[in-house]
Amino acid sequence: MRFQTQEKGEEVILLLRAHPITLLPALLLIGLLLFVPLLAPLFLSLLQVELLQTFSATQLLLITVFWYLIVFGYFFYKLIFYYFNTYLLTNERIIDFDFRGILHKEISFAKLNQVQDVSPKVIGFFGTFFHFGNIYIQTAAERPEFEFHSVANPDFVAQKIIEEVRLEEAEKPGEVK
Amino acid sequence: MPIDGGVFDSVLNFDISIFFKIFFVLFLIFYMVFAFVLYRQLTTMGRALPTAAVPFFRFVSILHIGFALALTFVTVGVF
Repeated sequence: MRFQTQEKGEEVILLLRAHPITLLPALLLIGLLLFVPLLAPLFLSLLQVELLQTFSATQLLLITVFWYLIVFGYFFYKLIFYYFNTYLLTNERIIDFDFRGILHKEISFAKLNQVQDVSPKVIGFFGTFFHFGNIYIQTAAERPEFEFHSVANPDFVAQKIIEEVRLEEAEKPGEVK
Repeated sequence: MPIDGGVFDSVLNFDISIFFKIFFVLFLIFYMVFAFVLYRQLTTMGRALPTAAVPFFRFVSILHIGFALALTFVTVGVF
């Protein structure tokens, strides 16, 4: 695959995203929101509010469609931010594509020969059970620390980064392998 | 002398559904802005990281904007 700012001879070795289990809270919330149009009339009838006396059937249908549009919008927002928040390990650099919110884009990178320390961490029940964690990378770049959040198999990824750092250090200056 | 009910009748007989209509239409307008901004952000993301899924996401995003627009017009007509 290719990406913006990719240099000549640069190849992607690892494309990382957060573990899919990190989407679970959002998916559970969406699942709950899907049932609101079914539960809301029951709840309102307990409060002596009859929706059919206030709105026509067509209006109620529109309100329901409107609700599901909002739920879909939330789902789509969560999906694309999960999909595009990625970490790349190439044969030359580590790159962090960070899209934090609407209209917020941050791309940080550090050359492999600037990487000083790589520390994987697996914390908590879910991290241990589903085998995902954070990787903290200390660099001599403009950004002193990179964090790869909730990536799968952090030990393997950390080992791979260290391997690539060693390969990069063994290259002659300006050489691209 | 009976009070002339003309003005008071107009206020009391004011159709409350107009408030719902204004609320929904305004909300849909803001939602269309959100959908459009989401599309722009997706375009930016897709330019930074062009993967095979980007065209599909862009298609869904355009449908999303179109659906919000259509719902706005239908709401104006129905409410």
